[in-house]
Amino acid sequence: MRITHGTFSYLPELTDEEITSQLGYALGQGWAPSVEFTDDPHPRNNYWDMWGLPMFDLLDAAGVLHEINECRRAYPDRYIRVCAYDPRRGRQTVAMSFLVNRPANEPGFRLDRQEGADRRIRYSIYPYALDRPAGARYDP
Amino acid sequence: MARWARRNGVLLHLHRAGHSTYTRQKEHGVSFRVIAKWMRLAGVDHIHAGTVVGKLEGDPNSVAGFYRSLRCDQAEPDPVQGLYFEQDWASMPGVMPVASGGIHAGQMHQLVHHLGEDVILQFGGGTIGHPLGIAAGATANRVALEAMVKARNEGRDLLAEGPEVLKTAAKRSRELDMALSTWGDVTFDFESTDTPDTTATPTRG
Amino acid sequence: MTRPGFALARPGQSQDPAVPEPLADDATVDLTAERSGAGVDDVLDSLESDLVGLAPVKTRVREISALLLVDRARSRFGLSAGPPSLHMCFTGHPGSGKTTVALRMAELLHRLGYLRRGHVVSVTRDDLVGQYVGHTAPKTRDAINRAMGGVLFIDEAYYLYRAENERDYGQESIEILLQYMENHRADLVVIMAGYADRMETFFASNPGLSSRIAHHLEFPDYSLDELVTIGELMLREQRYRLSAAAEAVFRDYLARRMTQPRFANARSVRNALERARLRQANRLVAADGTVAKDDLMRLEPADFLTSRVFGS
Repeated sequence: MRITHGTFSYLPELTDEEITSQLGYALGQGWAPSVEFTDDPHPRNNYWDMWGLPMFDLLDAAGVLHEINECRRAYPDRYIRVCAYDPRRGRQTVAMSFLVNRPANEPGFRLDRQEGADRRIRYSIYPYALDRPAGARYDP
Repeated sequence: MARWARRNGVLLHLHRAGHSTYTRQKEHGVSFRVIAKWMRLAGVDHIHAGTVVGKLEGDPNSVAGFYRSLRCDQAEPDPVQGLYFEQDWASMPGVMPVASGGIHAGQMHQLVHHLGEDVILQFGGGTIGHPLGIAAGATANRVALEAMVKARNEGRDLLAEGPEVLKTAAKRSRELDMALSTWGDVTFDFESTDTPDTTATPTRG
Repeated sequence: MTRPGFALARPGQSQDPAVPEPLADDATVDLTAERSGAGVDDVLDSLESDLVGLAPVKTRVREISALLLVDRARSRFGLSAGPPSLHMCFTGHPGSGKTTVALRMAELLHRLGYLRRGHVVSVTRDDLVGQYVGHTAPKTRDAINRAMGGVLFIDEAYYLYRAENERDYGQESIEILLQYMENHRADLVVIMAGYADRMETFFASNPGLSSRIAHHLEFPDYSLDELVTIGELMLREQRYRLSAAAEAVFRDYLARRMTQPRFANARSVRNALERARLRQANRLVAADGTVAKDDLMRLEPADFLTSRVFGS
């Protein structure tokens, strides 16, 4: 199941040129890109592991692409995303965030029902990937 | 209401049914811009502010003026958009404008061009009426929007190249393909009854 | 809502120099037209007029621009394979114009299409090397990322390597630089600068580095006449002038100052003029009368003679 996380996730995978082009837009807006990775695809997992610090004061996207490729080389089987942070006062939040790498096999999610008092049911999502221990979740 | 909503963790969404009875004429009533500013000060979270290309009417410049009053931290005067005063909103949070009414995926380029990206686009019929079902309708809209934002970031001219961007995206998405063939020809083209106070006239050479 | 200053836009100059289209085998290229079309002539001419002396440097810059122009023409015919190595080393004493020429070089490379942005990020060892394990790599990579699309100017580069201290992290920084210099030739140009003899030692102990430097430019010290001209240019820029008597005194001052220790060429001239302005201001205030516009512009011998250089 191809998870749809972040911007552009409903489109086909972005090529490196397209990634550079989007990063160029982000840098033109004055946003600071950063690279993050994780192996836990739960939609409420907000805090991914950081690959290096956010890159401020850049004028060109070539350096970010280098970092992305380094991260892909180090963690080829994890989800990797690029975030662009908008530091403008009144916003100060991530303005853009899109996936640049996925594991080859994405097992998907199941729906868990928790039965409570008075026939109430609470629903939650559980990613199948979490059945395996962290670090070895997407091994073939 | 706004304070109650904030305290209780719900969003306050303002629909503006009936506003045309008093917002569209020069001889009577209150301009919608005033309502928009007032609601921003009151602290509402969403307000329907015009769709330009939807089934209801709206003059593009006035709508742009409303959106700027709702979103910008500092509004510069621009009589064509109806903004007559410099306005500094300090750190007051903005309101999310909502565009809703007869819009469909085939108009995505016009929507992003006129309304920008800080907007809630509500596709009612444009989602539920999709031949493959409601989920497919939602997917089609999402694919269209993402393709449009991507093209805009790459610097393409949305009004000119928009249909082509949608066609390219539709090649990889069956849902969008069906949406475009279902509604592709639906446009709403009529003279707006909005009466803007200023229009740009070209200077005579 | 673009960030001001990001576009580095100058009036009349577009952001990205146009990528030249490929040519058929029998087409011809007019190099002179190419050169002026790219705006290269403007940069070379302003180099000529704004910088005094530095004849070997100016010649070398012209040669490099010719090489890149020809390379660009060749690539249009499909003859070039890969971007040329443009990393450089500037050697010379302080104040001899290395940073200024680096800025001009960045502009030139941008206009010829070899650098996408043409800005200069100027760093020294402290910006690249950390104080503890794991500190160096992020610092170096951060400086390099900021310089992407432009020039990374490393001043006093030899301080990166401290042979006598094995716990020094400079070596790690050098290795990272080497990697980027090799793999990102199209994105980044590295210019190292410093004293000639120390750079020589530095390169001897880091052969990988010296093999990646394509161009070595030596910046000679300025002659007395050149320093006087530089001083006059600076004064004209700041809307001052020397009185006839002061000209001779200024020349004498410079001749003496040149022989004294820690003379830093153009920078010393600038400092001397700053002090002269200070003394002029005090002279005018102490004289306690009315001043005309020319009085405010004119520097007199007294403004120089009180210097320690004259042995008083």
